[in-house]
Amino acid sequence: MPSVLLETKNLSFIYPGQPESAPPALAEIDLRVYSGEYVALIGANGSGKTTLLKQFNALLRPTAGEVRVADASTADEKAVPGIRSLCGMIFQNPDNQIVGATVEEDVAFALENRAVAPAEIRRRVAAALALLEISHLAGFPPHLLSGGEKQKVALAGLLAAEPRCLLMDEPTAMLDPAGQAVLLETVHRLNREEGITVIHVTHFPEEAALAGRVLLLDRGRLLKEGPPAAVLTDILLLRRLGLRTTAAGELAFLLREDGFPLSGGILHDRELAEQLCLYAQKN
Amino acid sequence: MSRSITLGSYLPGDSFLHRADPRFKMLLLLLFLAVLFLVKTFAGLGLLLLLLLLLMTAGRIPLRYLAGGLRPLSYIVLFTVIVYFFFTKGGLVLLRLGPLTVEQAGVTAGLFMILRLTGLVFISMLLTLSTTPLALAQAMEYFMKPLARIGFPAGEVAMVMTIALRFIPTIAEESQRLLRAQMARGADFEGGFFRRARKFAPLMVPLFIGAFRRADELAVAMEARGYRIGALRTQMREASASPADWAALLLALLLLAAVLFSGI
Repeated sequence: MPSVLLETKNLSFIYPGQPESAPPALAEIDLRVYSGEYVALIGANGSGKTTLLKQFNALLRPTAGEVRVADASTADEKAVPGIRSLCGMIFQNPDNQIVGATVEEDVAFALENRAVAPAEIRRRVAAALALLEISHLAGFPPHLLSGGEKQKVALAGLLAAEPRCLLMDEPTAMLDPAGQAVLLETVHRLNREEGITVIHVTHFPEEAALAGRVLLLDRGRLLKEGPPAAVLTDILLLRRLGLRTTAAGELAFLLREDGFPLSGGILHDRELAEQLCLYAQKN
Repeated sequence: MSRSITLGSYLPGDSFLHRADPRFKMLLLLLFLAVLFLVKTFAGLGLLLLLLLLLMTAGRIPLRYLAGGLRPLSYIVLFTVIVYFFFTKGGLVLLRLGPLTVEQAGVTAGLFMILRLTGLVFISMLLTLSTTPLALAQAMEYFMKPLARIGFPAGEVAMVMTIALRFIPTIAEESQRLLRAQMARGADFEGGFFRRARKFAPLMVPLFIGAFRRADELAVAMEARGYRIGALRTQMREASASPADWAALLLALLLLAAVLFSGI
C-alpha cells in the first residue's frame, strides 16, 4: 500500500469577505491522495476545484478542518516553504506564471527562492530542461514561445524543484490540440516513470478519463469519487451538473438508449470501436 | 528573434564589449563621464572621442547607431547653440543681428558643449548597445546590495525591474491586440497628436485592467513557487569578472588621473 501524500480532514473553506448566507467554497471534504496517484478533479465552474487545489499548496488555508501534506499541516506557518517545494503548482494562463526574463532564469526561480547554491541550480535547471526536451529554448525570452512551450517551461520550473506532487489547474485550457497532447503525454510520463503524484483540475472529460481516479466536486462538496469508468459513466449525474463525459461515452450512452446492447463503462474511442465491431460481427 | 521587442537599444553580438562584465561596464561609464566633464581643451575632448570611436569599431557597433542616438538630442543641441552663441560674450564679434551679437567665446563654448553632449550619448550608447536590459538590472542589483544593510529592499527592487522587463513585450503585444480589436469595430486612431491622445484613452482602460489581473495571477504563481519577500535568495548566474575587466577599469582610472593632473 503506497503512503498517503495528501490528506484533508473535514476540510471547509469560506473565502474571506464572503457573505455568511452564501454556501462555503469547500464543505466537509475528507480525502486521501496516495503517493504516485494520478487524480483528476472535475466539476462545474464554481464547484471549488481550484480552491481545493490551492489548499494543497498552502496558497489557501482551511477555515475549518485540516489539510496535511506529507504529514505536515498547511496551518503550520513553518511547514509552508517545505509544502510548497513538495507540491508544485501549474496554472491555466501560461503567460502569467512565468517570472524570469529568459527560460532558464524562470526555471531557476523556485530554486533561487530556496537559496540553493548557484552551481547546483545550473545543474538542476539543465536537467529539467533536458527532461522536457526544451534545452534549445534555454536563452529565449518567454514572449517568443508558443503557448505549449510556455506551459512546458512552467512545468520545467516545477520539476527543477524536484517536487513529489504536481498540482495542475486546467493547464491545457489555453493550448492548441498539439500542445495539449504533448503536455498531457509529458505529465503522464512523469507520473509513470518518476512516480510524481498528479492532481489535475480539468474541464475536458477526455483528460479525466486517463486519470487513475476521478473526484467530482459540486458546490464545494465531494459528490462522487472512483475510477474514471465509475464516475464518468454516470451520465445522468454529470448532465444534472452541467457536465458531460467523453465523446465515446456520450455516444455509447445514446446507442444504449436506442437499444444497442453495449456494455456500460465505455469511455475511450477504442473501447467503443471494439464493442461496435463485435456487435457488427454477431449480426 | 526578429519579433523581439527590445527596450533601450541592445544590439546582439559577441564582441569584447558584449562579453565584458556589466558591472564593470557601468563603472567605466561613470569614469568616462567624469573624464568627459573634466576635459578642458578641444584636443583632450577630440582624443576622448577618438578613443570612444575606436572602442565602438572594435566592438563592431555600426556608426549609424550613433547617428540614431544623436537624433533625439537635436533639440537640446539647438537650444545649447542658441544659449551659448548669443549669451556668452568675449573675443571678436562675429555676427550682429540688431541688438544681438554672436561673439567668439560664445561660439567656442557652444561647439565645446555640443562635442561634450555627443560624447555623453556616445558613452551611454556603448553601454546600452552592448548590454541586455536584464544584465543591466542585475548589475544595478549588485550595486544596490550594500544598501540592504540600511533597510533598502535591494533584492525586491531588482525583482521589480526584472519583472517589468519581462512583461514589457507581453503588455506591448496585448496593446496591439486591443488596438486591432477596437479598429475592427470601427475605432479610428488617426489624426493629430491631441486627437490621437484622446482616442487612446479607451485603449488604456482595458490595458490597465488586464495588467492588474496579470499582476494578481503572477503574485499567486510566485508565492506558489516559494517566493517570499525578505527571504534570502541566490542567483543561478554568478557574476564573474575577468582579468580584462580589471585591466579596463585600471586603464580608465589612469585616464581619469591623467586628465585631472595634466589639465588638458
